[in-house]
Amino acid sequence: MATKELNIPEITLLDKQIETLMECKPLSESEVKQLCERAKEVLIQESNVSVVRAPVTICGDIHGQFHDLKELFRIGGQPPETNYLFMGDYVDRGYYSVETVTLLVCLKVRFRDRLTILRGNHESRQITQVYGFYDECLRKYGNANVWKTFTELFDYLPLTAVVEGQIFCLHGGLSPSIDTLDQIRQLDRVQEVPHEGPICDLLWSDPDDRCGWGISPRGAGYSFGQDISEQFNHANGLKLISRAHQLVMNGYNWAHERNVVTVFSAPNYCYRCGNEAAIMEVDEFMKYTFLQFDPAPRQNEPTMSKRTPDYFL
Amino acid sequence: MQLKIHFNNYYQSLYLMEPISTPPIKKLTPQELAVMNTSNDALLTKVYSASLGYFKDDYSHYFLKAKKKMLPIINRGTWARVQAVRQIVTRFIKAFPGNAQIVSLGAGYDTTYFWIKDQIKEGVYGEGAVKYVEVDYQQVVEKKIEIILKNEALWKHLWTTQEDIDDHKPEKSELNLPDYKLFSLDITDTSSLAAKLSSLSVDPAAPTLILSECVLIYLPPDAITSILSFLSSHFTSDLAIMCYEMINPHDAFGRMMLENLEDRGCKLQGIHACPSEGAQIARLKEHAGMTMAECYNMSVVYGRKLDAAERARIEKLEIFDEYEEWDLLSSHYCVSLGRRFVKDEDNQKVCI
Repeated sequence: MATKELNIPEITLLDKQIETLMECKPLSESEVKQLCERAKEVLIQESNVSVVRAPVTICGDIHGQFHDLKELFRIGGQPPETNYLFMGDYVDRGYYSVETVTLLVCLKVRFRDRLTILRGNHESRQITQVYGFYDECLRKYGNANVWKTFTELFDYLPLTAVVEGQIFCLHGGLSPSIDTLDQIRQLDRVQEVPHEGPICDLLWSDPDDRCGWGISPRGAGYSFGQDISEQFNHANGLKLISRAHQLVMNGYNWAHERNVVTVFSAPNYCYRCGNEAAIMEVDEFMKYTFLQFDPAPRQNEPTMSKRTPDYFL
Repeated sequence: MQLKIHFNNYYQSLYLMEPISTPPIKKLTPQELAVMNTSNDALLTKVYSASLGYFKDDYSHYFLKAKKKMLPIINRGTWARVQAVRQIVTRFIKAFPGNAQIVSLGAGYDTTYFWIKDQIKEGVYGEGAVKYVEVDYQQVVEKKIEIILKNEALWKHLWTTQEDIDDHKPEKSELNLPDYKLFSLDITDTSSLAAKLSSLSVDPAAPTLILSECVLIYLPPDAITSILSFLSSHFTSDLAIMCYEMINPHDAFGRMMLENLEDRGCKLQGIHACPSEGAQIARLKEHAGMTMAECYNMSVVYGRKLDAAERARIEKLEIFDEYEEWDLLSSHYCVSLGRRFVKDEDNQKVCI
């Protein structure tokens, strides 16, 4: 059953909300609740392997760096003029997880065919309680309702996407329990990110220089070698695995002889790492171009956000 | 109990009845003020990581007003820092049982002294008595003394009998006990430092370990040089100098670190003159007359120099999703240790 189309009052409201969010102002608790209900209806229609058409711009981790997300739109083009595919990790670490994830969900509901938002390992109840999103919701709303609403929605986010049958996109990496895209399609994804198993692996794994499967130092997911990536791409008729999850200093990084690319879209991650960010534009001929960018100037941000990130002093 | 009552009288006379001559507090420059405040940051991280079970610290929380949640990466790094320092301290005390002396520059609210007292009680060092000397800004020292005097769990380590109290009366900005000295002084003023150490009968001929955690790096290179050469000449016998501080200012992470710290007023004036492990070693040898020196970044210290079983234990305490960042952050800090020991065998005993 297809989701019902947006009616005019809904479009008007969403446009207004997007405008508000673009100014880095959060929505009210009831607006968030209503938005997430609508978003659930949209997301549940998508397969675990979301089908995406080119041209599309593929993005990695954002982590609540709202002003850098606006910079990303400035560099890559405003939605919906540019189609976007985000590979997860919208929340935690940065100071504006609430505004960032609300904006992306709003855009998804408003322009469902022009935006794909996948699930990252931070779109989870457990990890957001350690890395900031939970505390930010408490701080901004005075209670945990918004956190609860969003983390319930996160269960509905698709796990992976394939662009024109050629570029396999996901947050983390491959899983030893998965050989084919069909096996991913069979997973029951509507649940909290488990501690192990295929769903966990897709959101947590990393490519490695070694061969075969390895134990991940993160304590979740696996590390996988070039032989694994080549085999997966070959078996599924894919050209490339595009993933995020790891900080890379240039914003993107090829691995496994161009079988895998890491895209990371949070510049100066945590306001501390000094890295460049990147996005990957894929045109209608499936030609890709990387656009690198630096952090948005921070003088426009209120002083609260200019507090120094933590060091050992 | 009686001890407490009498002790409270001292507390009252110091803080409730305003003493006639309070030493004037020297006006600090913005940089000095910002650097002074870093002692609160160190305290925050220690209290939080200790509360999660990273390491045992029964004392730091007395100095902290409000606890703050820190991220796993900071807790892990704090564990590595505290373990590295404690390991060196323990090795030094064991190498010089009975007469080890430790001088902590810019000690802040550090509670290593109290930790050592517990270790002594538990017999970890055998017969090892330890003299502990701390110096910091006057504001920090006065606050530290006030909190020590307010909390029996702290002051009971300093004074055990009424006689003790009568013989070694606390002052508002100085403590002078046989095994613990706490005073304020500008450590760049080395001639005053020499005079002060003498007046507090800190023995220049006793085996001495200097601790400096994120202290020298805030000073200009020539001030660092003069402090190091002063220490080298003032302490005439076995001497070890430990530094924990930032390195690698030239890459993207390092540049951002300098910028962020400068934003909060803490310029790392000393980092360019000493930007690497090699430069740390050279500095200890050339300016502090150390015959042996080693230095490792904290990524190496964490992975190879600390107790593996403990590391395995703390790695299970929290979810950890900051691998790439941990590599960056830990490789921008180092521990260096220089030694000038009379007997060569001590070089093997006291190492990182």
